[in-house]
Amino acid sequence: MIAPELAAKIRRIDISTRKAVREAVAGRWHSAFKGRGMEFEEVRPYVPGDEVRTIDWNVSARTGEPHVKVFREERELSIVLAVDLSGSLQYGTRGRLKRELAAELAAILAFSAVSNNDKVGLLLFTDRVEKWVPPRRGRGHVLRLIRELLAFEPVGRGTNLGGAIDELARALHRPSVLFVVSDFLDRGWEQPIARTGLRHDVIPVVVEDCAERQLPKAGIVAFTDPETGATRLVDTSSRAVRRHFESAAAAASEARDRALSRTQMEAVRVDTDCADLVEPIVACLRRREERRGR
Amino acid sequence: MLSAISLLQWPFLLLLPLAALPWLGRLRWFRRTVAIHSRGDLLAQAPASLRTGTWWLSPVLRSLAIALVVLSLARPVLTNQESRTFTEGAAIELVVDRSGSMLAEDFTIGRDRTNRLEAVKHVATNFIRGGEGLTGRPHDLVGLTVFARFADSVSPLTTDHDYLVEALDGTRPATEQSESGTAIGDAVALGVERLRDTMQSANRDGHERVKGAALILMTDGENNAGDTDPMSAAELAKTLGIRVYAIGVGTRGYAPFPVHGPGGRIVTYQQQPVTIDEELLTAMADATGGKYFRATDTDGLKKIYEAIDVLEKTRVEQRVNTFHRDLAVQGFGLGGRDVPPLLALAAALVALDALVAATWGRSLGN
Repeated sequence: MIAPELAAKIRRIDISTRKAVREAVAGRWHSAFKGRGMEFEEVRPYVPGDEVRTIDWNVSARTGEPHVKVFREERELSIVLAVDLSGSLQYGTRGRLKRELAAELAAILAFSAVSNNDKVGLLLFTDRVEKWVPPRRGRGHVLRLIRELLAFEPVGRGTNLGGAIDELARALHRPSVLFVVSDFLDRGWEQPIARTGLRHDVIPVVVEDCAERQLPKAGIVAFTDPETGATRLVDTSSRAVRRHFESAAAAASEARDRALSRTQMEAVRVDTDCADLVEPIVACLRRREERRGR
Repeated sequence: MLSAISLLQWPFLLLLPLAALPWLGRLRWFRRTVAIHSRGDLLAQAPASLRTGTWWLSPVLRSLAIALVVLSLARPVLTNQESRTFTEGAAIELVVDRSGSMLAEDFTIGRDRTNRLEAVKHVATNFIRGGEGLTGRPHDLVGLTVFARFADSVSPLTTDHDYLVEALDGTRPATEQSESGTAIGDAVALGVERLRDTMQSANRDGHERVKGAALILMTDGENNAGDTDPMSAAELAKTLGIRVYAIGVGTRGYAPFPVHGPGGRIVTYQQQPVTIDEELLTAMADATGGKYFRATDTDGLKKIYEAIDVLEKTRVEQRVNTFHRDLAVQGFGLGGRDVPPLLALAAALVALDALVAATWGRSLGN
C-alpha cells in the first residue's frame, strides 16, 4: 500500500518528467549508450558483401579462410541505479534534501530507461547494501523502484560507496549502465569505481548542497554530523571559521573531481536548488554522444 | 590561637545542586541550536573562535556565583579562639644563712659529701627552676637575701630566675672573723622589707599581681647577732601577711667541720655539735602561719621544698576569648591571602558574567 502523499509525489515526478524524457532524453538515450548494447554472437565464414572491417583476422589466419565476427545489437540495456541513502544525504538547505534530489534524479533516469524499453535495477546503500532490486522491465517495476527510492528507511547511517559498488559489480552478470547517485562524501571509492568502470558503463551523479561549499552566516551553531553523530560548536559568524570551511570544502571537492576525471567518466553534478533536473542528465548524454562522435 | 570554620546553617547546603542550573540552561541552548551538517568532518576541523572557545565561561561563572551564595546562606563562620594565661605568682624571698657553720659537711649531693651551703644552693636552685622532682616556680617572683653577721640583699624579687640562680650560686660562706655570727632577726626583717616593697609596687594600681608572699629562712644556728629580734621580725611578717617557712639545716648531734690549713686546704675535720634554735624557728613559723622543717640531709631538704611547693600555690588562670567572623560578609585571610567576603565574590562573578554576556558572549544564548 502506498501512502497517498507518496503516490502523489510519484505521479508528480512522472508527469513533470514525462514530456522532458520523451522529448529531450528519448532520442539520445540509446545513442548515448550505443556500443555497450552490441553483443558478440558468432564468427562465421566470410560471405561476399560482408563489411571488410568485421573480418576477424586472428581466426582467419588460424583457419586459412576469411571469417567475420557477427554482433547482435542488444536492443535492451540494463540500467542499474546505485543510490546513496547515508546520513549525509539527509541534508539540504535549498528546496529539497540531497536524498530527495537523489531520488528524483533516479526516478527520471528510471522513467527514461523504461520509456526506452530498458531494464532498470536499483541498489540502495549506506555503509552496507540496504536494498537490491535486480533489473527488470516494465512501468510497474519502475514505479516500485521509485517508491523504494522515496520511502525506504535505511538502517545504516554511514557511507561505504566503494563496498557498495564492488558488491554491485559482483551481482551483475552482464555489462550494464550504472548510475552512481551519491554525494561522494566517503573515502576509498576511487579504486572500486575505476575497477567497475572497466566492465560497466559507470556514470557518477554527484548531488550537492551549496551549504556544503559555503558556511552560511548563522551565529553560533552546534553542528551534528548525521553519520557519526559528533557535535561541534561552530561560530559561523567568524570570518576565519567560514574561510577555513570554504577552503577545506573546495579542496575536498577538487580531490573528488580529480579522482572522477581520472576514470574518464562523464560525471553529472546537481545541486539541491536545481530547478530542472532533466537538463543536467540531457547535458551528460549529449556530452557522451559528442565524445563518441569524435 | 585556634581557628576553625564552621557552617552554622549547614542545611542550606542542600541547595547546592542549584549550581547545576546554568549547565542545564546551556544544555537546553545546545539542543535548541543543534543543526545537522553533512560536512561534519570539515566542521570538526574548524578553528574555535573566541565565542565558541569560551562557551563554558558563563556557566562556570554562574555556577560559582550560585555556589557561593548557597555557601553564604549556610553561614560560614570563622572562629578564632585566643587563650591567654594569667598568672598570679607568689613572691618568695629566700633567706640563706652563709655563716661559717654552713661549711659543715653533713650533706651529700649524689654520692659526694658536701657542705650545707652547697646543699642548700643545689636544692633551692631546683626549687626555682624545677628538676629532681621539683616543679619549679616559673611564675613567681623570687628574691635572695643572705646573712651571717650582717644581712645582705643579694637579689631583688625578680622573675629573672637565671640571674637569681647565678646570685645564689655566687654565695660564699662567711669565713672572715669580722663576719662571723648569725643575724636571723636582721635577715628576716630585711627579707620582709624586700617583700613589702615588691608587693607594694606590684599591687600599686589595684591589680593583685602578686598573690601571697612567703619567706624561706634557711639557717643552721642561733640568732647571735644583729639589732632585730627574730620574733619582732616574725611579727612584722605576720602583719604584712607573709608566711615564714623556717628550715633548720644540719644533722642531729655532731657534724664534721673542715679545718683549713695554710693555703686554704682542708687538712682535717673536726666534729662539732649542731646547735639549731629550733624553738625560735618553730615560734617564728607558727607566728606567721608558716611551718618549721628540719633538714638533716639533702633528701630531707628536697622534701621540705616539695612541701613548700604545695603550700605556696600559684594561681594560673586561663581565659579564652572567642571571635567570630561571618565569611559571607566579612573578608578573611586564607593561606596568607586576603579573601573578600563570599557575597562580594559572588557579585563580582555575576558582574563578570554580565560583562561577557554583553560583549562577545551575546550570541551564546545568554
